[in-house]
Amino acid sequence: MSRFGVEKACFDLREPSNEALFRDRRDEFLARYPLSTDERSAIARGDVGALLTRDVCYGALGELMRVFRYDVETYVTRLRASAGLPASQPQLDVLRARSAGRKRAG
Amino acid sequence: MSTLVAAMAVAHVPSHTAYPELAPADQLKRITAAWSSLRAKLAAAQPDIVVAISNDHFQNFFPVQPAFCVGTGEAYDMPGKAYAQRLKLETRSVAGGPAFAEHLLKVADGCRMPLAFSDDLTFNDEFSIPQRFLDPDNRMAWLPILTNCLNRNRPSPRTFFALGEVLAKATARDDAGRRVAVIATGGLSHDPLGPNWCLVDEAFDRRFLALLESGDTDALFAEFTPERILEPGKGGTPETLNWFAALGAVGAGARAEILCYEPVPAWATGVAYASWPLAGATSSQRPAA
Repeated sequence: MSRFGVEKACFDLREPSNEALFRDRRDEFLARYPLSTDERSAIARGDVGALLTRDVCYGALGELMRVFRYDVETYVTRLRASAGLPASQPQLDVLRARSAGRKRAG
Repeated sequence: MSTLVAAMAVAHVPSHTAYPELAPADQLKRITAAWSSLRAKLAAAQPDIVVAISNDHFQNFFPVQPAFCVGTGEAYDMPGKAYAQRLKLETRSVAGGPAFAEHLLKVADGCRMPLAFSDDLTFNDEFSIPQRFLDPDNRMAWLPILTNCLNRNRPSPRTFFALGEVLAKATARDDAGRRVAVIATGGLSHDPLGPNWCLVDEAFDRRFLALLESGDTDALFAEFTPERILEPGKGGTPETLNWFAALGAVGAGARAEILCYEPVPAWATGVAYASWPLAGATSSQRPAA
């Protein structure tokens, strides 16, 4: 396991040219980093839940959320399931209302 | 000798400038009133330098992660241009405090707490939001100290407290006769990008504030352990560590005045504002120019 490799790959996605490479030639992008097969697969699939269990920092997970264009409810639901936490309806309600409010505000 | 003239701790919620309307109107009114009160206190204290302590949000420090990094630059963009749109703030140049920063670095080394430093730092919400509300006319010099709250191997509450003690020593050992304000920013409970995103842990927040208000620093350390500080969500709650630095600057046993606490799930944060009364906190001690 290389938590550093996972975080480095995710943070490097902030660079538009890296994000473009990830979208177009994912294997080529991921080959740059010291990753296990499972880690490479998790990043390639945008499996934020799997990476959460590896204690990857949330900032890095957020980059995958952005690149994979997850809505916040989907993202949080995946994290909670992975962490063994039950879904929280009040949380989902707030997240939905927040997303709608942000969209309205522009 | 320089003097500590103000000590505060505040939230730095990005939604406050980006999406204020998401907060219920009554809460927004009380939060705005707290900022106004703190702004008046800070103005009355007439600081020559505002030492602001808050955490990096991975915009400066990955993969190298210092525990604490002192800004030694002459000036900074607040917020950095990459973050202005997100925060709905125009970027402006804010004066730094390089002379006091260099002095602080020397004193810290003498205290066996060597600090990292950089002239070239990028700022997101951690300083830009408090600077905008506390110094709207951009008249003050701000010396930023970036901390590690969000990455692993973060310093403990006691180490943050020790950072504040070093700042107090640096102030006391400074011959420039400066009036120094310290402002910690961040927290309280929140978990952006984490499983508890938009859940606020009121019990955590209220107990933390109660202990600050009581001045029971021993209980604060006993209850708010490094592990406890992660429980409401490590995506943001560890920013509460910055408050320990402000407390360290004023000293164990100091009683905080809590100006406002509002749990605002739509802002994804337990929002709190506090200050510590200080003897030198009025302009009456300022020598004639």
